[in-house]
Amino acid sequence: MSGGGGDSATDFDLTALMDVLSNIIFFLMASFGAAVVAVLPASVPTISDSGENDVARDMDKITVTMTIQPSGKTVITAANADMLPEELKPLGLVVPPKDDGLDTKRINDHLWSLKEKFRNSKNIILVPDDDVTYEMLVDAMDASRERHLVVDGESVYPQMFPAVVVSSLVK
Amino acid sequence: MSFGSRKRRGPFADATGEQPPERINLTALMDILSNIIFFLMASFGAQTLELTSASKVSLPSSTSELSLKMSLSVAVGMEEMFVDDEPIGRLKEGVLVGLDERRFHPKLEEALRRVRAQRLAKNERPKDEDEVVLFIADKRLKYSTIDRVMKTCARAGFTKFRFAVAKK
Repeated sequence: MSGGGGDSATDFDLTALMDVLSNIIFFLMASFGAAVVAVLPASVPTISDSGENDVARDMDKITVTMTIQPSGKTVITAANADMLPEELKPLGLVVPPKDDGLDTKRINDHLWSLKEKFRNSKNIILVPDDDVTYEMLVDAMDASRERHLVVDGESVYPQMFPAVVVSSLVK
Repeated sequence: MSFGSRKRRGPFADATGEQPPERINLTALMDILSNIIFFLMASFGAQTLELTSASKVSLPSSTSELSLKMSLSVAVGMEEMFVDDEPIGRLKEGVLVGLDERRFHPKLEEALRRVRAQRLAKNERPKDEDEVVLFIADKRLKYSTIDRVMKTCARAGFTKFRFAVAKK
């Protein structure tokens, strides 16, 4: 019994489907660019059972504390349990505000100078004032996380203080 | 000598000498487009934070390149706070309402403890990821509010955070 069909393959007109798919692609690509979200790791202080604190002990390591005021003024201090106060004092810096915000460049420059001296440091404690905005806190994290360098014509971003603890003053 | 009247016969010409219309084979292109669409949709789904629209959160921008990993999310807008899409508390002009005498947020703590208990009930081996909160907060919020939320999370056992930011 013959099926009655011809030998030619069935032709689908894919043009309309192509139009729809192309539109979806353009829409997705446009939305994709707008919805790119990244993350910043942080933690809060916890009570340790071991009795140890977060202050660095090795001589090639310091713990940096950065106090942030709503005006944008920042106070940077360094701590190391094995170093004398007079050794630590020159490592601190008061950075005045710039354009009603943080002077991120100066903060970044100073933190990089600390990182170069104490290569194994990675902890920074951020202590924002109650009235500091979340945006300013993120700016401070950006300024302390990495450094932009150009090596052999290529941009590199060595890490400075990626381990961020967000804390507040005890009242 | 005449040149105009005679039709040229090509290899596919039919008996009358008419050329069939040229057809472009779109199948391969369709395959490529479909692959691109699946890739984009998969990436888009992972990147989209539905909570940001639910709580009207305007994320701060950052130079961070760390990619988003989904975990338990706490979203704090200027008027409302959510835990994994569930409304959990209200704010008045960016200030949390309903804090207890120790300035923790009891409803938030209860919700987080419930999530933690559910995970433990599944008898799954606790992972580092389980202690991380994806923190989605409005850039205009003051640190006093952020601090209260983070400390409440820490009290409920979530001491590590990933701050969601918009890439610069």
